[in-house]
Amino acid sequence: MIDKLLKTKKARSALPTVLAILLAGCAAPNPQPFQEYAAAVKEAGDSLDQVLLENTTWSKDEFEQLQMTSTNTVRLQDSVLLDESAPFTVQFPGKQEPMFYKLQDARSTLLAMNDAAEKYVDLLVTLAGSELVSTNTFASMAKDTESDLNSIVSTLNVKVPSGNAIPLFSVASSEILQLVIENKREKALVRILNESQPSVEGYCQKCIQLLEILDESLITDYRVKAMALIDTFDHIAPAERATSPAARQALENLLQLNSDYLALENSMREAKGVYEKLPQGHQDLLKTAESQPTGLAGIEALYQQAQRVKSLYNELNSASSSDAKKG
Amino acid sequence: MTNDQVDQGFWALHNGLSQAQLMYMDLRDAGDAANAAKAQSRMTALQGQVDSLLSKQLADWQAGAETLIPQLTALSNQAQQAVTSVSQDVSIAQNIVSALGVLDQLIAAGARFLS
Repeated sequence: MIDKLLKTKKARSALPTVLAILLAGCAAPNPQPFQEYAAAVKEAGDSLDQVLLENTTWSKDEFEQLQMTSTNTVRLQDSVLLDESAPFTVQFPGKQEPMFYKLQDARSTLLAMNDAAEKYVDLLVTLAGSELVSTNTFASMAKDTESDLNSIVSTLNVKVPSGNAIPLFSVASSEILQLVIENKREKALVRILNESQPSVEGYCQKCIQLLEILDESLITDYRVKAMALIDTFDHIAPAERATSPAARQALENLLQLNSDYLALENSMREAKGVYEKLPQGHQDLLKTAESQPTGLAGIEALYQQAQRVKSLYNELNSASSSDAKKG
Repeated sequence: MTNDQVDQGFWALHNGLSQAQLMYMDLRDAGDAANAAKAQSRMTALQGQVDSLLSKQLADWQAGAETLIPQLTALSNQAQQAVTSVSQDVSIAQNIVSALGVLDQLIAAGARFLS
């Protein structure tokens, strides 16, 4: 009777193999590229936010510089925010709202946009992650049942040919179900990655656009700061410059300004490079989800570039904070 | 106007502004107050145009980005639904395997009586 039972179980045990062939390619996705991609999106988003903050400071400096050095009559009341025409809508009273207010306002939009993009890629990581469909969970499900049964078998003293494990409904079904779920997960990933591609491209395009606007805003602010320093230097007679602390200070400030400007430009260029590559990285994730051969080196390079951007901004930040300490 | 055209316009204004500023300083240092004042007035006008253009670009960017946020949020919702669905499938699978485990035990118990 046991032999008969084993025969039917043998047939049953073949079922996962058949299903494995039918669901070929439904192995769990490799989570690493998804994690690296999410890290690249986060680093790029944080860097863009930091450059916006830095730019706002420069823009505020420019506004103050122009106000203080303008030969036209400056009315400080033009900078007082008294005009609230409706609840929660404050209008700038002057002819034109200063750029740094607009940059502050744009930051809230950028943060919301980054937040939405990061949430999306984090969920991709979860969806592709080993935690969601854990092989261990399935293995332990089957193992628990198997050990229960073995204990029954030994208690009941059922004779089983040595070396032959008893194939079980539960063991077979756990394997099948895992394959089915992996298949469903793969389909969901592929569908989401496919449908998201245009929005991801739109997001990256918007970030590049913002970087370009910030680049233009930065050079405008740089020009005002640099010209003020040149003006200070030029006002000191050439013969007096060698001994003039003001001339030395102007020169040092100009060199520092150049250095800050170049560092900021460099990091913005790197950040732009990350945003240019993110759409292709998203395509590569799709290929990974479809178990197609893909150049994961691209995502790895993207991750490395994002890490570089992060360290560039960290350097900028530490330089800014030490400048602030120096006063 | 395309973004590229706006960018070209910005750089043209920026270069003009830099030239005007350098010219103003040269004229002022040369003692040509009348022409320095003219250069300064050009400079102020160009600065105003640069500021307006940057403000417009930023406002356009913000309007476009605001429309993108709901799209990105929809993507997150879609991904969240997929995660929830797969998690539920795993729970269901656990229940099925447990139920089948009971069946296996019954079969094994039955085998004792039939052997």
